[in-house]
Amino acid sequence: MTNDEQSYVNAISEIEEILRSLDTENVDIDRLATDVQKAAELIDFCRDRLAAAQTEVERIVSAFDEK
Amino acid sequence: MAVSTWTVDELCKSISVGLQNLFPEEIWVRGQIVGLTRSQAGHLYFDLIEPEATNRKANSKMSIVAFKGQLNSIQSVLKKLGNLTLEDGIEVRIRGRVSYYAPQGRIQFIMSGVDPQYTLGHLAAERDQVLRTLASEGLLELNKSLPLPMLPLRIGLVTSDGSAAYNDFVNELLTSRYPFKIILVDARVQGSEAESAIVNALETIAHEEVDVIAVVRGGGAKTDLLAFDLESVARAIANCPKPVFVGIGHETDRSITDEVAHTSVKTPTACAVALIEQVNNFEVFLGRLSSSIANKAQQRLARANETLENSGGRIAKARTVIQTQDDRLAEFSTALTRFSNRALEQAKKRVQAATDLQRAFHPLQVLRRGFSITRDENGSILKDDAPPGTQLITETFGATISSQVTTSSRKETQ
Repeated sequence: MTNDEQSYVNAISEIEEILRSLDTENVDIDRLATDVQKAAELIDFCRDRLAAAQTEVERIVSAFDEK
Repeated sequence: MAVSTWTVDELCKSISVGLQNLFPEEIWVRGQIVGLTRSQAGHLYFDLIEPEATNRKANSKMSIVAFKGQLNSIQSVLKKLGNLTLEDGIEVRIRGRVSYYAPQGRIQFIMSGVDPQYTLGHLAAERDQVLRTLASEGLLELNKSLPLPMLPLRIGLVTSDGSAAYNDFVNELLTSRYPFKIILVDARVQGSEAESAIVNALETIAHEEVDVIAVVRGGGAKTDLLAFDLESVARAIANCPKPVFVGIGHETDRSITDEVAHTSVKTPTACAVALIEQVNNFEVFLGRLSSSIANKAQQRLARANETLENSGGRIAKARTVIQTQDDRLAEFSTALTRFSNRALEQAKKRVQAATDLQRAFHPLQVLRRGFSITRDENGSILKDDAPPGTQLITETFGATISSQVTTSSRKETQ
């Protein structure tokens, strides 16, 4: 799934899943870097989405207020 | 015997006497009036023919005269008992005597009385017959089925120009507060020309740009209104492509025209009033419509405002959601660092522990603590006894020592 196709909700679930796997006694060190890398990318993706949504909401509200 | 020769005078007198002998008393005769004229002296002349012979050559015809002296009583009987007048085309039963009018050399019937019931009965029978015919063809309802325009301001008027009916109708419309437009087609509405005049006028006006057609006429004797009982006039109205209003001033009976018209009222004035009412209804309707539109608009505005207020709430909620998500992502980020660090820490600790353990059991560490390793000549580590004379190499932490077994005994505890 590319970032464009990725949905915010799915990304959040995936982050939670990774965090759950990291929050255990026996973390698979071989996968640690991959998992952390993946989670960091997903968090960045969500932040971008959120920022875009915020910008859009503010734009709509200000356009609306001008009317 | 020689044939005698008559003088004209003798012949006329003889015919006259002969007629008197043949018709000693007054008799009744019935037939249809044609060629009705009134002399300057005030006498009334017409011919009686067999009914419905009007359009073909009459086989029998009788000249009738009603002298001025008798005419008043005849007319008053007709008026009083039947609201009738003597008109061309009507069927009458009249009383009188047959006489020979020598100055003109012709036989004539000198009328002295009339039977109004006979004429009334005939008119009613004819009227019924026409009504039945029209009904069987569905013509009574045809014009009524036309939708009346909501705003009938363009009126096609069929009446006699300048008549009282015309004035009543036009004045009523023009003094209303609505901008009526009247297109008049002048038509005789009485007498022998009325039939074709009305039919032609209806055909003409139907092609004009009018909303409604009005046919009006003032009151009169039943026989004055004969044209409005004619089948041809009724058909013209029924088949008219525009709604036809009629206002014919008759007191009692309805004419056939009334039956076929879209709307029928009693007088020309009432006809105008009906049209004004229709326009007024439209004005009232418009008034209701506009207030209803205003109400609806208000309701829509109120709903729109409500929606806007809700939207404001939703926008605020959107901001909260964004903030919550932002916080959550920050938490994720922190957790990711913490968990990954912790996992690394734990992994490192395990590696360290393994290293320590490994170090603790390394042979050098054992030698350092004072233990030594003894091997035989083959280099095998000595774990049991060895026969005397066996060459041994002992490795301590600090040196390698060579020795030879002198004695050897097994431990009891082994």
